Amino acid sequence: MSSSSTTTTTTRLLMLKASDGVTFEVEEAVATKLGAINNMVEEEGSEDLICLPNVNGKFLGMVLEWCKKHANNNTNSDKGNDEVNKWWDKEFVMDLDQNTLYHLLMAADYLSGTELVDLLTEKVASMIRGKKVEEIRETFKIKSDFLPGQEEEIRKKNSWAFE
Amino acid sequence: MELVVCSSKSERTMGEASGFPSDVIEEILSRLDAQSVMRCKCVCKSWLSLITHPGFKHRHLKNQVPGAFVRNYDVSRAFSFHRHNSSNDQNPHQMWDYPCPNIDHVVTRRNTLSLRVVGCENGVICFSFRDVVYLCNPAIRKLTKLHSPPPSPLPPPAATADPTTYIYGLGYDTLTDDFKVVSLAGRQQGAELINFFKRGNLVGVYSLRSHSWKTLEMPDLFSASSSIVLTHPSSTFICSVVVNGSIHWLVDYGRPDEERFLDSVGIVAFDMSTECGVGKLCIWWHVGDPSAMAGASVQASLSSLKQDLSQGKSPAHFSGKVRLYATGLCSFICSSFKSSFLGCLNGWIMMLHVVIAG
Repeated sequence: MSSSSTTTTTTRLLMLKASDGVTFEVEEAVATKLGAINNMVEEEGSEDLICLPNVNGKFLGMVLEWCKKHANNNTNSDKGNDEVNKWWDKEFVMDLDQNTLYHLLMAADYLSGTELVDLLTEKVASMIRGKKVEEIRETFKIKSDFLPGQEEEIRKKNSWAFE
Repeated sequence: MELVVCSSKSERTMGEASGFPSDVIEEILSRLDAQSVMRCKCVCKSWLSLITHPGFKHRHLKNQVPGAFVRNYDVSRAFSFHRHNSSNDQNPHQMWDYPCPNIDHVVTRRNTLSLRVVGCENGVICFSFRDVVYLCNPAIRKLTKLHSPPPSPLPPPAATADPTTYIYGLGYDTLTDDFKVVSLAGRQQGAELINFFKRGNLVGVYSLRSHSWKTLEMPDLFSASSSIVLTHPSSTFICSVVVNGSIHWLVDYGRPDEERFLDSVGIVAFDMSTECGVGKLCIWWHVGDPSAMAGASVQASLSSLKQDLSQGKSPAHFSGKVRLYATGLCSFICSSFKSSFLGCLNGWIMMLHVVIAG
């Protein structure tokens, strides 16, 4: 995937180590798409191995895949590339199962990958939008903890929203 | 050497029912339309308390862009759509459109020229109809009428005198979490509107929170020009736009200057955040004597002005039979017969315009 033939000379590589010991070697420009890593590189300077005890290898790999795509396309940003990015993002979130989506979002949030968090929270929001309360509870495996009558009261106040 | 990323986020409470920490849930819920948010209140207690928190309300409102279609001087529909999200535009044209059930009693079709759109701000759109002012939040289908009419100018008009008429502005004061409606009073004298900027006139400032008007005196804005006349057709449609915490009006006005009558364009600003809590008026900018300029250069001045106002976004001009008002943080459309004043125009608002006009 990394066909960055033009930027080979000055590219610095970083090692990222996931919670399960899996390591990834990535270009600095890719890893710094993540706010947490960017901060670290800026503050600490020349460290080469960064440990990420809150993310396991599977999801770190996915986050980095997203970063790679977006870092590449940032270097020569024009309208066409923007379109490709959007299309790629759409594909990226299309078939995520709920478990993966959850862990990926947690990882992106932990690593402060703002754009990726935007993408994933929008995906979760799309699973809520226009749904009935019962459907939302089922999707996210949430049990109602209201006292009897409480829920009815909220519904009554804004009955138009439940039509 | 090794480094470990351990953000403070890892210590957040994970007691949320869905497993997500509450700031992530907040981010998710703030992307929803008002109806979905209302439903989410019923999902569980933690979601309910998150949604009813004032901070969430504010965040959500900021994402809602209200608007109304104004056609033949009545409001046919009010709508609300979600602010376009830059990094993800799978649904860039998401719009929630309501037939505006409560608006019916505001508008009677027989009375043309009476309904004005005052402005849009922070999810709320403001109308005036025969000097009754309404605030409408289309997203939650709420319509509020201001409790009392704006203060009359001094001296009080005699029964036979020219009728009082008002220009309004709408703003949202973030410091006090309050919507403000500002009224400038003037007189209608035949086809001319006069006295709006007469020194000493009462300027009304309504606070939605306290449901009452405060007043301040009109300062001497247009020095040595007691006889400012608002150019009639456009002044009927003066709308306000908020930039950097101040309400701005674009004013087309004329004044007699020896033998000639000069047409000018100016911007009057009202700063909501001054310490007395009432605010202050000032002239933000005005073109001295456009009659000396070609029409094109007036347009150019307006363009550069608007560019200043909206911090670098490009302005445009249009006019049409159907007026569409919609505004976000910096986007505002206001078109009148004489002048067109248009803030940075998002592609999709333009699209709506085209659809309606076509």
